[in-house]
Amino acid sequence: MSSLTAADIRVTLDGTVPVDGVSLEVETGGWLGVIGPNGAGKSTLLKALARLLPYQGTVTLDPPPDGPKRRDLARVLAYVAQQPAMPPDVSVRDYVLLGRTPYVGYLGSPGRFDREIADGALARLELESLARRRLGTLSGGERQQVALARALAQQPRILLLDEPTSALDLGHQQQVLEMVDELRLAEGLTVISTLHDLTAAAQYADRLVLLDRGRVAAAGTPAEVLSVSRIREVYRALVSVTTDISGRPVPTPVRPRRGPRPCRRDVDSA
Amino acid sequence: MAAAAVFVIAVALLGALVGAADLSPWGIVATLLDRIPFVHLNTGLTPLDQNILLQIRMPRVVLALLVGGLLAIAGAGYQGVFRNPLVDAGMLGSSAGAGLAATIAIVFLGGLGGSVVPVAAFLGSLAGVAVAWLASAGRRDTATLLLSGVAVGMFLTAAQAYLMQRESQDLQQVYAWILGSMASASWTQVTEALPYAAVSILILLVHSRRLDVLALGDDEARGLGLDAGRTRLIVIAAAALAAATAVAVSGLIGFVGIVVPHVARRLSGPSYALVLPLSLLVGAGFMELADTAARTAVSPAELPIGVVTAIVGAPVFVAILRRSQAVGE
Repeated sequence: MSSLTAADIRVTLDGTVPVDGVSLEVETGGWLGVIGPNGAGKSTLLKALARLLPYQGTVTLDPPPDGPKRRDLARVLAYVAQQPAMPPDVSVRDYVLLGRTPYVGYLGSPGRFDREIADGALARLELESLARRRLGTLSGGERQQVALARALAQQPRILLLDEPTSALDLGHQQQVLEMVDELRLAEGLTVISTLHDLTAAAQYADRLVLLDRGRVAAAGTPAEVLSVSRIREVYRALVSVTTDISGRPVPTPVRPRRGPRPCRRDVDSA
Repeated sequence: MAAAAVFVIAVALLGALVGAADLSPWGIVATLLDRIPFVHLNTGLTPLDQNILLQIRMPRVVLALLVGGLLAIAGAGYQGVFRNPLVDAGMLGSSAGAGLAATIAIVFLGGLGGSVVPVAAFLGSLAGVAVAWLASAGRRDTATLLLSGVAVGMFLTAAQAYLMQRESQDLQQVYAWILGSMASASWTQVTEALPYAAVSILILLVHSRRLDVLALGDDEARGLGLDAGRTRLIVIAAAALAAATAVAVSGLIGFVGIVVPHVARRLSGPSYALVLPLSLLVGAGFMELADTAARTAVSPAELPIGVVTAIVGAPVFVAILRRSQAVGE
């Protein structure tokens, strides 16, 4: 069953068309990776799916939100920006509690139940020790995890993550992606994320959409999408693609071959 | 919050106590309590003293509390909307609009009676914000709105300066208004200002939690189900109404809108759910203290209250600036 289906999405921004006729669908509990070179329209597409940008085309959720309002959508779909804005003096606990915004009435304030959900989100990601810390004191990895906890407090069915690991070192990248995957499997969350790192995309997403200048260049399983020729064509990059033990492709950059270069001794003696 | 409320009551009583006529503290408290229905106390004050307290000092105290609270909560609201602790209630063309309109009223409509200038200032303040808003229409970013407010403000100030240069016989009156004063405070002014004050304060307080969400940026706020554009418009309109009401009854009083929310933030933490009500209370108390200083420092003459708030506010403003630069580094 498809959790989210987008048909013929077109976004126009300041006279340019960063996303042009993109269609995609993601199964309930699946992880769709949106990949592509810089400027391919990945983040714009994700914002359109989250209805943060005006777009042409249709995005259908199944089951649909309870109503047409933005807060109805926010109860089923959570969006985490590439670099979430984090007011430095706000505590982690209060920040995660903001995830309850779609459930708080116009004149209301978060109640005990909301606090329990927010604390539960922190506990789920084993971040209780950070609860009293101010956002300004967190490391890059901690910030991403806390942003994820805030999204979880929304109790969404669909998580949209824009480059969740862009600012992280290898270890923290792995930690965050494993965390997302564990949530997906345990809670039945559907994940759509843009990913820069093709190896990570192939390891974690079960389907990929490759964008090139706003259009879909390829879509399918990682093995179907990540071929040497396609990566060369879209990224203008030379790679070799091997397959790991689980059968997933592992693209590795390869240096273009040139003629023999002078070694240091030759240069010194000359 | 309770401590802030006690602070407000204490400075209000201090304001009622200090002045040329020597009124006893108990007499003041008893006279005020005596006004409560079904409470009858022996106040110990002569009818003349009671009159001084109830018709001269108290309207001034209440008006100062109201103006301070309004300027501070409006400043806090603007700071929330623009995500910038250095934005003031007077920005966005509000002060300049009020200044030009009041100058026009003093120069051209001086013969129409005392209420013309406050009404003109009120309308001018709102018109200044409306022009700044329209000038930035179509752009969603807050920086454009802020810059268009600065541009509109500079234009209106230039127009005001031209008028003042042309009609120099009215200069003193214009400057007296610009520097702010509570000297002509009356219950009429209080009752005229109260409905606008109540509406604007209520709207701002209701939206305080939304400012916390807005602090995450427009995209994330909308991702959390908030209509960021509508929230911003409502808060700006309410803050403009609050500032216009204050300007109408007191003239231009600077720094309160910046300094007080900063103090409130230091006391309560960053959540606007606390910063807004605390700014209201601290602003009220601060303005009452400033007014008490304004009318006693060089007694029997009075300092313009804008001078007092500037003496306190400017150094604090610089301190905030230096601190925020240090954080930025």
